[in-house]
Amino acid sequence: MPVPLRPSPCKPARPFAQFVAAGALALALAGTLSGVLAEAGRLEQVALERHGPTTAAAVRDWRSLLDSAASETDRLTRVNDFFNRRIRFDDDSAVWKQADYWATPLETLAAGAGDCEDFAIAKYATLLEAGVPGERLRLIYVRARIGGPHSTISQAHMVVGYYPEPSAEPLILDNLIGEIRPASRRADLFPIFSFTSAGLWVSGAERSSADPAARLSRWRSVLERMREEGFALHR
Amino acid sequence: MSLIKQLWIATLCVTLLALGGSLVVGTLSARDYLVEALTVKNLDDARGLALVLTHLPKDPVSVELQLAARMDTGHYRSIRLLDPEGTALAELHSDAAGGGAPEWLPALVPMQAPAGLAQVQDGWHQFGTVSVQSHDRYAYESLWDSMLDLLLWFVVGGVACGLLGTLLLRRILRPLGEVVAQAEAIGERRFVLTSEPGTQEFATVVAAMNRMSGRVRQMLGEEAARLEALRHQTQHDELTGLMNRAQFLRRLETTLADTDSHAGGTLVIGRLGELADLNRRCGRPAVDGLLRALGKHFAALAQAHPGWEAGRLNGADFALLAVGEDDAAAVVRQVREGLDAALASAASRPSRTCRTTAAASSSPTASRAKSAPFRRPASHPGCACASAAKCFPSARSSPSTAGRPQRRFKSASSPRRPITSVPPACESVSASVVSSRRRNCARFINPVSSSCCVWCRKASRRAASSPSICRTRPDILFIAATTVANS
Repeated sequence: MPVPLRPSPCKPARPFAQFVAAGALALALAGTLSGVLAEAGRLEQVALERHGPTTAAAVRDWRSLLDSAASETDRLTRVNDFFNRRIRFDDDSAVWKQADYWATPLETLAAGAGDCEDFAIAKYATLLEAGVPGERLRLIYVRARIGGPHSTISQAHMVVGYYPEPSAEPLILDNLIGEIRPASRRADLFPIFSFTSAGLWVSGAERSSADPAARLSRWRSVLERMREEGFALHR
Repeated sequence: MSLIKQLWIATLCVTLLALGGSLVVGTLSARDYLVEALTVKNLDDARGLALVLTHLPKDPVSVELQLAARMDTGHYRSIRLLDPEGTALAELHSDAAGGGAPEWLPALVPMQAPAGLAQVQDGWHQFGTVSVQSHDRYAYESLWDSMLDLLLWFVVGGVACGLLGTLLLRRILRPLGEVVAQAEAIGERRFVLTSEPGTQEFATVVAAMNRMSGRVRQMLGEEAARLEALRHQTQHDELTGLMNRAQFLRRLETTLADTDSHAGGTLVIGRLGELADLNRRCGRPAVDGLLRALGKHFAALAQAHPGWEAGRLNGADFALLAVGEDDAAAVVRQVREGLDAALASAASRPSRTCRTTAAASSSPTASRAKSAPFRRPASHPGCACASAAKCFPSARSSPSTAGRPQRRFKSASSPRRPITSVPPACESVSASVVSSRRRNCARFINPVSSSCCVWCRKASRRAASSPSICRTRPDILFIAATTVANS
């Protein structure tokens, strides 16, 4: 498996029927319900315009994940399950006809398929929308050993780490294993590097969106596209 | 203020405006660009540093060395490593100042590039966050250099525009200078025409000036002609065209006052005797013809000799000033020579001419016959115009003049007979010509000019050795002559 840094071959997740994803703003942070609904409505509108009624319906389902009443652990589980079930794993070359493409959650929902970083991005963005603080979330490049505890075969992979406390052991949201486990129970994964969206919108979302340099970085590019679609990521 | 100066001011204003605008726009866009570059640099450097730190042993010395190496070899204002709780694990600052940019520039153009943040992992655990802030000195330096460049280019551009504009304006305004020259030429009575320039506004002005030049020339020409006519009219006798009395006396005075040249000469005065009588007998037109003929005769004499002047002093008196001619007798001879012919031409006119004039120089018998139509009753004294002899005896016997100046005036030129008496004509001229008893000379008295007296004395001295005053009487024309000289 020749993948240097890019986590391309990740295990397919269980496909699920309809999805929802809508740019409902994080209820926890958004001031009013009407504002949240307006944002979510906008994401749905974009989904309808760009990808059709099926995606719009998926976005409506996705919105149910944003219920702030649930505990964070519940939210993690629901989000993890939602994407692991709905999104079929496939390579970028098959889904997007590109060697590597970082899709936004809406694109992933519309395509119904994605590779590991599409899973990770969608989970990360949804958790942010659901009100999970950004400093508790990490996107982590990991080296995944596949084929059992004694296998020597590794591949590049990407997961979402959730840190309940800054110095605590993270919970890993992965699509190889549908269950959320603490990092210590994931002996098959070896962390390489982690990153977040923190610091990318220090001077405000408006300026960043007009920033052409943002498109040069894959990560910043996908964040920009998410924001255009209606995600409120500047947290 | 001159147009050139105004052009320079306008150029300066435009340049300043453009400079100000460009400076603001250029500086702002440069600032945005620099901030973006700094931001990207901060992010990338932070990520790179975090990646390195993630895979290094996390002992403080290694971490510190890693940060210090990055700090010392790079261009950073600060590099900080914060643990997940937010406390600083390591913090490096650089306060290196310097660079060409002035101190006030950062305050004027603030550049706030966000620090680059990246997470450092220690296995699955968070180790901390790296915050990298690049130094903005070089950004300000670059901004300052671009501002200076802009300023330089604007100065160069402004000066070039001004010079170009000056040249262009000079070229455009050249017709204006030509119009000014034309106006001055008109003032000096030179009526030049200017070629019309291409500029429409100036072409109108130049065309108007050309028209004006022509009109003024025409007007001045007419005025000059009128003035010349008027001058001629005031200085010359209407009938004969000779100088009038005032003008002739002026000329005489001028001649005598001229000390530089040889200003001597002979003054000849001729009088047509009994003018009133002639008028009465022959009629005015005939007498006018006679006077014209006499005038022409005198004028011809004056014309034939450069420097000679002829004038008509009053109704019957003609004067000839022969400048440079001391021989009075010779002058009188010349006067007499053509006289007959001149008078004959007057007499031969087909009109009702008084033949008396012809008789003046011809034989009494012939003239008597010819002038029969003018014969008047003998009872009238001197009435017989046919006979000069009859015309003038009365004059000769005039008690007022008889025997007085005759001794002093010797006949100089009369070929027929010496003048033995002074005719009344002489007396009537006496306002101008009198004699000096003692010095045997004639003296012209000009009541308003003393210079005339000086001349008289001189004349008398010069006349002492030779006949200075000649008087002839060609029947009806009395001629007196004297040499004159200035002192």
